[in-house]
Amino acid sequence: MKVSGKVSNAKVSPFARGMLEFIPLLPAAIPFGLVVGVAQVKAGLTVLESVGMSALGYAGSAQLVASQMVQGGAPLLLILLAVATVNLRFAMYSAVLRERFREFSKVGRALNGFLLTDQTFALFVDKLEGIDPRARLGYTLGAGLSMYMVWQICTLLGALLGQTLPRAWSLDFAVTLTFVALGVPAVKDRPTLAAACAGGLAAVLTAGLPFKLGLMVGTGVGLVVGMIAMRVYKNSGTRAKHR
Amino acid sequence: MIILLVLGIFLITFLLRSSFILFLHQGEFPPAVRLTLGLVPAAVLSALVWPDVFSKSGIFSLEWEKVLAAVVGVVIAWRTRNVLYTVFFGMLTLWCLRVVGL
Repeated sequence: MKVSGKVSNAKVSPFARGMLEFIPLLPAAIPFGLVVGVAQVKAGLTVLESVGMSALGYAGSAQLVASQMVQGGAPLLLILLAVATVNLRFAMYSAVLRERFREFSKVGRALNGFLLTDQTFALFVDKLEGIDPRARLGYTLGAGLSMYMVWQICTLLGALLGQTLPRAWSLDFAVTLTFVALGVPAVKDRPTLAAACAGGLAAVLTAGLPFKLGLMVGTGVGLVVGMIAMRVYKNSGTRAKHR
Repeated sequence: MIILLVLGIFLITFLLRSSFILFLHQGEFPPAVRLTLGLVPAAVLSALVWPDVFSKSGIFSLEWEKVLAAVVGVVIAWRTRNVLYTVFFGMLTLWCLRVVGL
């Protein structure tokens, strides 16, 4: 399968291949970008400030949280604290990916660091192993820069359209559904299922905590329960069906 | 104020994202850490999703149309592994249930 794929892909550069394989993730980027753009101008940012936030900050959930807090009149330091909590997951993504990115040049690693998102993380975890190591840098940059461009365009559109996007569309729930689509394939066996259920439940129960701490609490509980499940199913005999 | 916010978000986010890719990229994780890292996508994405579905206002005021739409989304994502189908059928379910007035 890997070999037959290579033939048809031989003509396409790794960068172009990364761009092409990002296309199925477009529905995961477009509604999110629109929602964030709308939220930023609603919080009182000018269109230019909104563009700057997307271009430099480039972190959907954090931009959303920051916008809500700006709107609520929160002080700068508290907003940054919330941003750090929401984005702590990126340090974990970074840890997951570091061995796969190790051979890249320093610039390549820095660019990939800047461009890492939930969407490209899901793509790389899924696809990167099956790609020729020499083609990986181009592939990751093709996908990463596609996501970046789409993000800039969609948040700008959201900022310009602003309130004219009807609330009844519930675009924010489309964002939730994209995370469903990215998360379901991550559940492959009982430990990951346990991690997902425990993490989700804990996040719901702690959703009221300040600074979006619930996300980190949920993730932590999910990881612990997943590790326990791993022990239990390993010890409970030979039924483990991991490949 | 906003410019400080933008620069702050940029710095924090870049440092977190590059932490292991750019700065701490040498060495190996102990086996237990590797196993835990394998659980990260499932744990994080689920912790992002569930609070959006089960509303903040508590167990007794669930927005059932959202719960059902999310269930449809999970089934579609599981069967098709396709983001577009998941969003499309999930949103269709949500809108239909709202029109019906559930």
